[in-house]
Amino acid sequence: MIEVLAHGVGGRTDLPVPFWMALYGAGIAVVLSFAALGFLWPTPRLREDKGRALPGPVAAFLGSPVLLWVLRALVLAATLVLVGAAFLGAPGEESNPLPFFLYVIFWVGLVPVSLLFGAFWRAVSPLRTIHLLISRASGSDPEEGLRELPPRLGYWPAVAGIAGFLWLELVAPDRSAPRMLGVVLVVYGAAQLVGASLYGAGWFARAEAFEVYSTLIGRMSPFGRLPDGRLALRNPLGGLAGIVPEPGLVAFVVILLGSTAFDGVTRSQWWTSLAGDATGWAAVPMGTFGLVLCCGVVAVTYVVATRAAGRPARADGEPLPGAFVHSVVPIAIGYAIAHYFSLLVLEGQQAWILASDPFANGADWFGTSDWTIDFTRVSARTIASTQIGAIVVGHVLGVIAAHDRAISLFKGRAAVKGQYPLLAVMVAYTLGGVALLLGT
Amino acid sequence: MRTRWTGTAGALLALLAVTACNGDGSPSASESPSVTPSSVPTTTLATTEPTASATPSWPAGCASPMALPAGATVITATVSGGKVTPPRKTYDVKLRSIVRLLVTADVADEVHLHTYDRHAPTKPGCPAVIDFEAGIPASVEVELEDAGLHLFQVRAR
Repeated sequence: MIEVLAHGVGGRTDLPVPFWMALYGAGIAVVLSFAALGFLWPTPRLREDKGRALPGPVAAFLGSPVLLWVLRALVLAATLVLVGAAFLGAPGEESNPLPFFLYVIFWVGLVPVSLLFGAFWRAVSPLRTIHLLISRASGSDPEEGLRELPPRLGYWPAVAGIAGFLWLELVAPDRSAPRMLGVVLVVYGAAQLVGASLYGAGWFARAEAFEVYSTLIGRMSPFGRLPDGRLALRNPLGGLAGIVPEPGLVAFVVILLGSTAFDGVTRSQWWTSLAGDATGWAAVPMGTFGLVLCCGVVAVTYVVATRAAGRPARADGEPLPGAFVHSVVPIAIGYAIAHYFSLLVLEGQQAWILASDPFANGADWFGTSDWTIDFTRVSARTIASTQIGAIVVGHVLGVIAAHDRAISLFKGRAAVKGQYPLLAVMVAYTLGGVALLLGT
Repeated sequence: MRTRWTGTAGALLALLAVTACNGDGSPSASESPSVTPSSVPTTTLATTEPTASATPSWPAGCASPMALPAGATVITATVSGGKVTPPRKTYDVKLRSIVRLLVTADVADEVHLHTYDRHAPTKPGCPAVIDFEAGIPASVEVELEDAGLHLFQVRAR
């Protein structure tokens, strides 16, 4: 039986991290930030096109179309079963697999999978698969649509999608109701497919929120492609440096960071005493306000800090908030790992239990329907260290990425001074992230 | 050159601040709970009731609970008019200790202890009792099921 509460699925929250651990973590982050200012390289080094090509057999396996289509088939089949179970399975969230698979396996699991393998969802998305199959069946080119995607649209459609999903996950009442989620997913999928037939498959890369999310995280994968198309091992920070800012990307990253921060806030005692006994729709205005406020704080601090970095040496350069958005991505990933790691490792064990009987008819497809979750599989100490570690590592990587960008945009002294505001904001994000883990 | 000095100075200052702040608290020493900087008292250790005898004034006509072993913790809450008293709190209990939840409600509902997945019915006049061993090192929610009312949290560590 699974329970639902707080952010989609749960009822269990992590213990607060030990105070000494939080202190050391924060201290290390600050120390390393100052050290980076003083000691990091003086000329830009991070590039997207550097890497070591994978050996032939490995590259052939990882890049093989057979593997790709097997994965696509599995993901499509799983999606159809889960959406079917949303409508035909148990009406309550305890035994229906869809809410769990959506909020835990998919939404949280996308992070480690994309970190490891790159733009995973772009490769296996069932929406892309359906679009591909429909195009092949009708004899048209999947990449071409009826019209061109306007460049000014950028990532804004994906921003709307991710904002909607996060509001659903963090604020909406009955957010784990299977039927409602089934309807939401079908409507979302249909809208995406309409967009793709209008604008071609490139629509997904700008408007499908989960693909944008996965591709963004996948920028930090050790696997990438060289300019000549060969699969290669590369420096994750180099991949990050290759992010091309477009309209809406800053908003997307800001919302990711702000919403994870809000998730942490809702688990604090301060929030629970503030929220009082409001349940259901009565709790929505406050929740929405909190979510918007968290995203707003991140937005304002980030934009102010990057604008204050000074005037770049190149007059035709990217507006500054866009130029530095890639350095916030590791911090957002660190936050996500800190908040959702234990959910994946503990409650995630429900996956094989629920998968055995998705339609609640007593089936036992994998022989696992009577398994139970082992909540002591990872110790509280391991969880706490992972949480602090993720925040600190994310911070350090963000600082390094920002430093490299600053010295490529600014000349001489301006490059160092330009980093101060963003560095201060990053330290604030990290201290805030650590403070949230204290649970007070 | 100046930035190198700024960088080093800042790093040393931060290092100093961390060690001074941590004081004599070493990793092994400061496992104590509730080192919360906020001024609002947010966690309390639940009261330990005398054992062997059942809770005094147990209502007639309600199945009386079993005797609690020594050292067990009892957490009580009352629900009336859709509000919980004391207002939603977090209780710290020792890991693997025996805990009793005692919820008195003015409606017929069900108390649900998450993660351990235990249920107990309430009705006007008869409190719900859940006895369990707090073996999971986490913070778990206790709620009134149908009302969707969060009662309190129990943290075992």
